Amino acid sequence: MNPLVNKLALLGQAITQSSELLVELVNLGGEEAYFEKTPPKFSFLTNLDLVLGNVADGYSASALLMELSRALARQETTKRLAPDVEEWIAQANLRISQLNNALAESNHDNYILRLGEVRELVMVMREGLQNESRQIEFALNTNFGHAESLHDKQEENKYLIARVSRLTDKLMLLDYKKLRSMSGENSDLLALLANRLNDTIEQCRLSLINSLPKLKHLLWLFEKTNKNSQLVWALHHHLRNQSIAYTHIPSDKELEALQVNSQSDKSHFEIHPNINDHRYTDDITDIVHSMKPPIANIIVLPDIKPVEAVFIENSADDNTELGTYMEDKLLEMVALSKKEKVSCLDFWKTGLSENEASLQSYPSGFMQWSHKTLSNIPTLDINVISEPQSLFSGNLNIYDFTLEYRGE
Amino acid sequence: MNIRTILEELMKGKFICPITNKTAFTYLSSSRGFELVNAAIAPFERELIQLPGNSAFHLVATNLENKSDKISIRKHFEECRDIIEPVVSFMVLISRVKPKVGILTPGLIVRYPEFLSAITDNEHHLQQMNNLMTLKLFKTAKQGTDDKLKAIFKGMVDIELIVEMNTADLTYQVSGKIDYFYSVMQFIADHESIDTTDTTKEQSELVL
Repeated sequence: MNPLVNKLALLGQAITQSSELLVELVNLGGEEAYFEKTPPKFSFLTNLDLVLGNVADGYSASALLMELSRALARQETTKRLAPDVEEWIAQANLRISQLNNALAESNHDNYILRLGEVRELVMVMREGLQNESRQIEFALNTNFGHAESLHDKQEENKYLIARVSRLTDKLMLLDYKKLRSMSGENSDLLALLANRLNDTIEQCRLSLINSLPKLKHLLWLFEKTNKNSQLVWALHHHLRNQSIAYTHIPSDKELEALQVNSQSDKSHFEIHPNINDHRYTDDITDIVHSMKPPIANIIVLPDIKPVEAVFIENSADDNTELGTYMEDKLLEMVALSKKEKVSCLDFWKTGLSENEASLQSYPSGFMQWSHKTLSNIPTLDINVISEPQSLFSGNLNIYDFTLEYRGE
Repeated sequence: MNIRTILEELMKGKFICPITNKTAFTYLSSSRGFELVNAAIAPFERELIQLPGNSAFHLVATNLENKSDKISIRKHFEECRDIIEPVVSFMVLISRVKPKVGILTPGLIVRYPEFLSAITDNEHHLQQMNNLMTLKLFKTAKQGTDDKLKAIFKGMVDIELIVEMNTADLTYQVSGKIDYFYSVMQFIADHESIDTTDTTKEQSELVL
C-alpha cells in the first residue's frame, strides 16, 4: 500500500480531533494562541507545519492553513444563489460611476478600490450563476434522488421548474450588449464584464439549453401523472355508478391502434432429440432404459412361443392374437426371414408408407424391442451390426441386426 | 446478454422494464439489442415496442389478418378490461390510506407494513379494504386483516403490476406495465364516453 494513504488518514484524524482549535487559530489570523491542552494527534499538524509554534511559544496558523480555510469558506459562498439581476445591475452601475469619477480625478487608489468592488460584484454573480446552473443540472440528472412520495416529487419538480425560469430570467437580462455598454471603453471593465462575466453567462445558457430535453420530459411526466390520476378517479366513479360497466365492443381496427400486448399461447417449447446424432446415443439410451413401458406394450416372454409356432405353422389366425402395430410388423419381419436374410433397418424402411417414414426414419424403438423379443427364439439367427463409437472408444453403436430363419 | 431468455420472456407476453429486469431493459434500450430482438421475432409476426417515456418494452402482433392473433388480442384486451375494477379499487385504497403516496407510477415503492398498520388503525380504511375482498382477483378464504391485505397485494403481483422487491421487508415496487394498463384504461374511458376531466375533491386527494 502507498504510505501516503496512511499519512492522509492520519491527517484526517488530526484535523477531526483539532477542528475547533484550528478554527480559533484561523480567526486569530496568524497571531499566537496558547492552548492548555491539545488532542493527541495535534502534533501531527505541527510536524507538517500546518500549525506553527509549540506549547511554550504558542501556536499560530500557517499560510497553508489559512489558504485551506479560505477555500473551504469559498465553497460555502458558492452555495449561494446568483443575486437579483436588477439590483446587481444597479449596484454595478453605481460602482462603475464611482470608478469613472476616480479616473476623472486621477485618484489611483480610489480607482483601484472601486475596481476591486466591481470585481467582487462580478465574482458574486459568476459564482452564483454557475452554482445555480450546476444545481439544476445535478437535480435533473439524479431526478432528485429518492423522494418519500409522489407528492414530494411533484413539489420538487415544481421547485425545479421555478428555478429554471428564474435562471432564464437572469440570463435574459445579462447579455453581451448590456455588459458591453456598462463597461464603456474602460479596458479593465471590459475584461471583467464583457469577457469574464459574459463567458460564464454563455456557459450557463448552453447548460440550460442542454437541460431542456430532460426538463421537457419532467413536465411530460408531471402532466401524465395528473392525467392518470383523473382517469383512475373517473373510472372509479363510473364503475360504482353504472350497472353495466362496459357497453362498447372494440373493433379490430380500434384494438390495432391500441397496440395490445401479444403473447404466445405456448408457455414452453417442445424439444425433440436427434436420435441419429451419435453424440447423444448414450444419453438417449439411458433415457430409454429408465423409461417405464406403457402397459399395452409389455411383452411377456412365454407368450412368444405361440409366435414362433405361428410362423412355422403359418396359421391364418395368428395375427388376431397380436393386436398392435408393432407386433404386426414383427410378425411380418419374422415371416420374411423364412424366405431370406432380413435386415431390420431395411425391412423397416421398405415396409413403411411415405407418411410413416416421415414420422420415424430410424426404427430405434422397434429395433430394440424386436431384438429383445426375438433373441431367445432358437430357430432364428440374429446378427448384430455395429460400428465403434469413435476411433478411441471401446463402445459400439448398434445400428442394425439381421434375422435369418434356421429351421427346426 | 442472454437474448434467448429475453425472447422467451417477451413471447410469453411479459413486459420488460427496469423494475422487472434491469439488465434486459438496458439491452433492449440499446439500438443493437432492439434491432436484434426485432429481427428474431419478425418471422413470428411480432414487433417489439416501448411504451412512451422510456417505459416498458413488450410485443405486439404485426399481422392482424392472422386469425389466431386476432383472437388472442381480443382475449387479452378482455382480460385487461375485467381487471380494471380491482386495479382501480386498489389504487383508490392506496390513495386513501396513504394520500402522500398518490397514484401508482412505475418505480414507486409501496411498503406493505405501512399499509397494514394504517388499515388496522382505522376502521374506515378497514371497511374500504373489506370492500375489495368481493372482487375475484383478491378473493381469499382467510379472515384476518393481514391475510386479506396480503391477498390483495398477491393479486396485484399476479397480474404483474407490482413486483415484490424484498420478501423480508415486504416491499413492493410498481412495474412499468402500469403505463400499459393506463393506456387500456384511457381507451375504455374514451370509448365509454367517461369524462375524465371533471376534477372533484376526491380526485385532488388522489393527485396529492
